[in-house]
Amino acid sequence: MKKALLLAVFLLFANGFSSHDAFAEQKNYTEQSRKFVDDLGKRIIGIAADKKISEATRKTKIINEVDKVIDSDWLARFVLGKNYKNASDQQKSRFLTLYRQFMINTYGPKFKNYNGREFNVLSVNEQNGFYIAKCEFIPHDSDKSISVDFRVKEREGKLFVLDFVAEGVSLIETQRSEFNSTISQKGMDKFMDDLQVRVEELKK
Amino acid sequence: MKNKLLTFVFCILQFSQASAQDLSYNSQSYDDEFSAFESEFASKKTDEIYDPLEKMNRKIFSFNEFVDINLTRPVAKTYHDYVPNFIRKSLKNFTTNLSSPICAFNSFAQGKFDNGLATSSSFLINSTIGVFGLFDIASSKKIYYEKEDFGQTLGHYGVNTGPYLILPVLGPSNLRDLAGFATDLTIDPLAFNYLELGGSTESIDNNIKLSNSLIYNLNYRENLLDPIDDIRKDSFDVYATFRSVYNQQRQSKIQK
Repeated sequence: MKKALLLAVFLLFANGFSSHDAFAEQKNYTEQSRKFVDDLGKRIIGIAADKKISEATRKTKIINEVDKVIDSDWLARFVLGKNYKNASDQQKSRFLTLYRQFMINTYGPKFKNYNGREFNVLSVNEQNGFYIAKCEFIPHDSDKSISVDFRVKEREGKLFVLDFVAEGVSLIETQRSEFNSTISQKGMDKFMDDLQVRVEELKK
Repeated sequence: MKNKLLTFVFCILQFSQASAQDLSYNSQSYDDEFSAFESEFASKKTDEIYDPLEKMNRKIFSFNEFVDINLTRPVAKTYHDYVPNFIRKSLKNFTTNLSSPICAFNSFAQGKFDNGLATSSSFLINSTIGVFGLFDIASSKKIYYEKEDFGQTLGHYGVNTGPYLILPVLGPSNLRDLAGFATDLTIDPLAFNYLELGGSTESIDNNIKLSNSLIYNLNYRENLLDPIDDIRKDSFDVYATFRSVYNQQRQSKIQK
């Protein structure tokens, strides 16, 4: 009986500690998100500004950076919108593979233009379980900063970028609108055939 | 011994239950976080853009693309490639400065006093020390402002966008922003009023305003050379991409 009581007290305390831990963990992830985005931004600016490497190496390095930090499965599901529910398992699986390739090969190289003077994380706020990092990017040819936001999510202790918003325009909202419009006109399979052709062109 | 065994079994059960909860949490939490984002996204109402005139809009959009690809873009590209940067910058400063009084008016109308004051200060400094706005002295003194127009003022007071529109040559808009655009042109003494095109009010004054408007739009198009080229290259549906970008940008500016 005494042992059972001790066990109950132990479990009660363990529960109390775990909710305290959850709060500390959330605070911790806000700070981690800040560091994660700051490091990512500075790494990309560093690669983009590196004159010692060739254009091809720069592109590969930036693609690798982007590939490491995005959760392409989550993004693929979001950008398909209502079409995700209607897609067959085979279509979903095909799209997930194609979308990852499309993302890293289309948007990765675009970051090479981000060879600005400065990148700063201004604030990080938790919002519905996501961490929104508000950042500023200062280009070489202007003193006026460009507003760039990152939507970050922690999953199993690892941080991922789920959206990139430049001057109020969200990458995934734009893609969702574009993809849904295309699918409604051409159908899912034709859209994926076109996507496959595009991915093959991009890889060349 | 029996007690120890019971405690051990209890702990194992607790642990296995917790693990089972963790596993179900992982797949469930993925769906939950997805639903949370979907709800947040739905509340922003950017997914469903009101476009009842899509068929007609797409036709005008195709016409605009033809004009832009064959006329406007080549002119803007030539301007970018052959006119020295300091001249382009001065012309941009000059035309932007002339558009700032209406921007200040709209800032004050929305109660954005900081932005209104920054815009007014910028106009005064650049028009005097900056030699009629040719030099952007205000920016070098870290006086920045956000551009505000009457469409944003209407949006600020809760006027809905109305149907999405593609205007011939001028590009993406909506009913609210079109009304705002017409109002800005009417009340801005420094703007060229397109509504007077073809009328009998042609004068030196109007020619100056028209030149100002053309230079302003040329600079605007020149700034968008790369982004528009990228959209044309990357998008599967250029019309839908422009529509989404336009709506997001307007909404973001109104919420600022």
